[in-house]
Amino acid sequence: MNNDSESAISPRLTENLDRIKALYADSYDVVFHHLQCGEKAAAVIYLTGLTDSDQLNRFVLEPALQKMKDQEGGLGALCECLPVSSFAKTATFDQLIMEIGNGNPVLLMEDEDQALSFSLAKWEKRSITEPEAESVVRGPREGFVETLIDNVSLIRRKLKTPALKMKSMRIGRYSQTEVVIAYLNDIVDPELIKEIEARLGRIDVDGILESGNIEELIEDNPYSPFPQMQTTERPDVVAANLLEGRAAVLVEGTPIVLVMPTSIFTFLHSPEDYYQRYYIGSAIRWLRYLFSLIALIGPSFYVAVVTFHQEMIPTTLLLNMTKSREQIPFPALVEALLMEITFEALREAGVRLPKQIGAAVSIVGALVIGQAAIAAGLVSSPMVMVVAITGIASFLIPHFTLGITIRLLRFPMMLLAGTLGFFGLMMGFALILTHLFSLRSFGVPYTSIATVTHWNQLKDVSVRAPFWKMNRRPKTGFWNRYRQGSHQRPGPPDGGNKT
Amino acid sequence: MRLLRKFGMACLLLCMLPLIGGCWDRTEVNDLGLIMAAGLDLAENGNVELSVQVFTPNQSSGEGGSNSLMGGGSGGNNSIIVQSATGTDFADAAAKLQEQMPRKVFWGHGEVFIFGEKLARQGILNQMDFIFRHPQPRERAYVFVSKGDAKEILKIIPKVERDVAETLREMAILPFGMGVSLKDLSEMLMGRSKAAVVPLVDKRVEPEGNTFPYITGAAVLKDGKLTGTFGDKVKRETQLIRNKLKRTNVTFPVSGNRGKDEGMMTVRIVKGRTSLIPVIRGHSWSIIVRFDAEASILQNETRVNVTKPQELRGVEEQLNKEIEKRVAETFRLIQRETGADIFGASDAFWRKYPKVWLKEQRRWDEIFPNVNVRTESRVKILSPGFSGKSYK
Repeated sequence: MNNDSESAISPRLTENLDRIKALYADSYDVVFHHLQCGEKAAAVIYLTGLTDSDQLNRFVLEPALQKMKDQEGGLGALCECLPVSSFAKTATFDQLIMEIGNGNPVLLMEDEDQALSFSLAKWEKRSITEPEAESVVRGPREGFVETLIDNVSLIRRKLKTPALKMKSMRIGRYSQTEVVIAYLNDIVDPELIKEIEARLGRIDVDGILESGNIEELIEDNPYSPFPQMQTTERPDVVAANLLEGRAAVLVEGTPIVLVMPTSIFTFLHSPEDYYQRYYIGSAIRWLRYLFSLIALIGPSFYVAVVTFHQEMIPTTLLLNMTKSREQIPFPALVEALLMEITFEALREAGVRLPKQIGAAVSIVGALVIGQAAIAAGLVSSPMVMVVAITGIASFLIPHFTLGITIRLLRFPMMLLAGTLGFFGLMMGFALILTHLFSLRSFGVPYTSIATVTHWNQLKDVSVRAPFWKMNRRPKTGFWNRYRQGSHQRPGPPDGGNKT
Repeated sequence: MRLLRKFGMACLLLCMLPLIGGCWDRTEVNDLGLIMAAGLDLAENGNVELSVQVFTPNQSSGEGGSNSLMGGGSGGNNSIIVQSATGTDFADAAAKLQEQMPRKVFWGHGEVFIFGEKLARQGILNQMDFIFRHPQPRERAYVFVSKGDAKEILKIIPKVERDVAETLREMAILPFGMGVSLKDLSEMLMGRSKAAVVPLVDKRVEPEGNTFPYITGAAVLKDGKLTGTFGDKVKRETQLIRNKLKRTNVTFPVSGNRGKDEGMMTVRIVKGRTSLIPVIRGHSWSIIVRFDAEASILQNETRVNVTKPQELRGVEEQLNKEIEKRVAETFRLIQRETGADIFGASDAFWRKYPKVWLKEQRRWDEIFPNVNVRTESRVKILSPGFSGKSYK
């Protein structure tokens, strides 16, 4: 946008300073520190909150003043005598402004058309803590933080290979957010990286404050209710995904990392599936599949059965249900909507409120959708049970993004079931399935793992096969298809043949 | 823009869904009059009287919902009422019944259909048609013929089970209960023999005031008409010949070495399997009823040392003789008294002699009463039970 004369740093110090001052007018946190470096005038410019002023004093200002006192020479000489490990010369004005924005102090000198920037940025940050949204019983306890470089280092620590690539770019006109695409060079499909870069490059918005902003701008189907990228705040999950040929997008300022491409089954898997024994992993997986189905159609199934298909209820159960529904003024559909909306409201209130008040909400909630609602004759007791089971079922989905989608889809399903019975339920179900099968995540079909014909690919979907069985990488893998040696199955010494 | 329009169209269509949908089929559970059991009796002027057990949710317990949370188990017996309507046939009576009831009559949970004795003698085929043609009644519902009026059976308030329907259903399921579902009945009535056997229920009043329905025997229907009722023993042997008796107990007298009466012994028979072997020699049709089973001794009142295999052989022989005698007697009794082939003998003949059967099938009603029967029981006593000799 700028021509050369504008973007170049002028040899005249005052001119440069004026330009910077003009840019940072009305910004009280920009510091202009003038100093005499030998015979030449110089200035250090930095943002107070973002720069380690202690280190700046000790390693830049002090040596510059002391050692340059009786020396000639400009920046070159200064570079030699500074005990700072990382500094860079910047030649353009734009870059200079960016360095200041990042918190790196910049030194300008009279008669020099280059500036020195020191990596002395330092700001208050959260230390690495356990990820709260994805907790595990067994598995690493560290989670991503808001600082991008820390997140990068967390992944780097897990995958030490030079094949781990971290491509950086800046997005957002005003926020200038740094975004990093991480992938394993040998494993990932290069087309995928190109696609990600292209989609990220298209983004032209004011600011990116969270990876969710990016997610919405690079989805395959922006109208779908289903999440098309996996989100995680666990470095081990990202590392595992990179090893399976996926890519991750890290965004400065948020602990949530995007992983793509993904499939719907990924959202039903928990990292712990891979850390526990495979029997347990498989069993819990099936439990999740079952309960995510309940979360989707639990109340609608109940409504359909109660209003249209009474002959399907076991006689004794029907008699009890008739008894408990006797005093209820509403049709089953209204009853179900009432309860489900109340439940969602309670859940939302519990999430948003401070923790101290949250406890009160849950007590009130238990009363509202429990005993009191029945006693007041608003809802029947079977309905309370259905709502409770559905609620628990929706909490069983390990990824919040899919959980909330399913909770949302439950409501149109209830309407369909309440008006058309099982027919409507099946119609809704068919609609959702059709949509799922047409959905893609970065060009990869959303249900791909389940629809591929090779049983090998089902090893990580239908069950969690033991690691020594999963020799191949999932999906694509047209080259570099084996991820481990072929004889990984452990056993007793000497293959158990010892006499 | 096009997408937006599509979306709008979809929304519009979705909005219409409740209007065009099957809302008219919507029935709340509490608008249903659940029929638990139905009974048909002969009324005056050839009309039929339909009596049904309707489930009435216990309204009195409803003022606080907390009761209903406890479950309806305590509600118990008074939640069933019996209501009757008379009409020219089942469908007419059912329509009249609906007029009497504030709730929609729902047959989907009717588990028991009882035909009164008088109606059964006149024939039940016409009324059966309604049960099969109506979409709601289940083919798995059980059918009974009652001694006396069906209404009297329905009025009983049993103590053990929820209601009469549940009592009879549970009884029918038991191995000796001879449960005949609507599907079984229709198969029997449409089969080659056009004869059916249906459990016969009666009301029993104990002096202590406990009244309950029970299965007292078997009712034989020929062409849908009741032709005879038989007691408990006949019922069991009939089940045996029809190959429906997998396990039973048989008590038989044991005579000692010199023909001396030693006392009774009871065995438990398991893995019972009956085959009918038809034989046609010239004009004489005969059938062999072969019964294979395993048995173990249940009660030994004799001096026989059942732990000795050689002594068991003799007991086994006497057991088989007893079974053969009873089975043959039953077969002849049914032949003589009803002439209805409820054993499936016609199917056996058809399978073995299809050509002869085709020629003679019209005469089957004449042939069947004269079919010679021979019985072969081959029960093996495998174990003396959990004890040794008797205490004698």
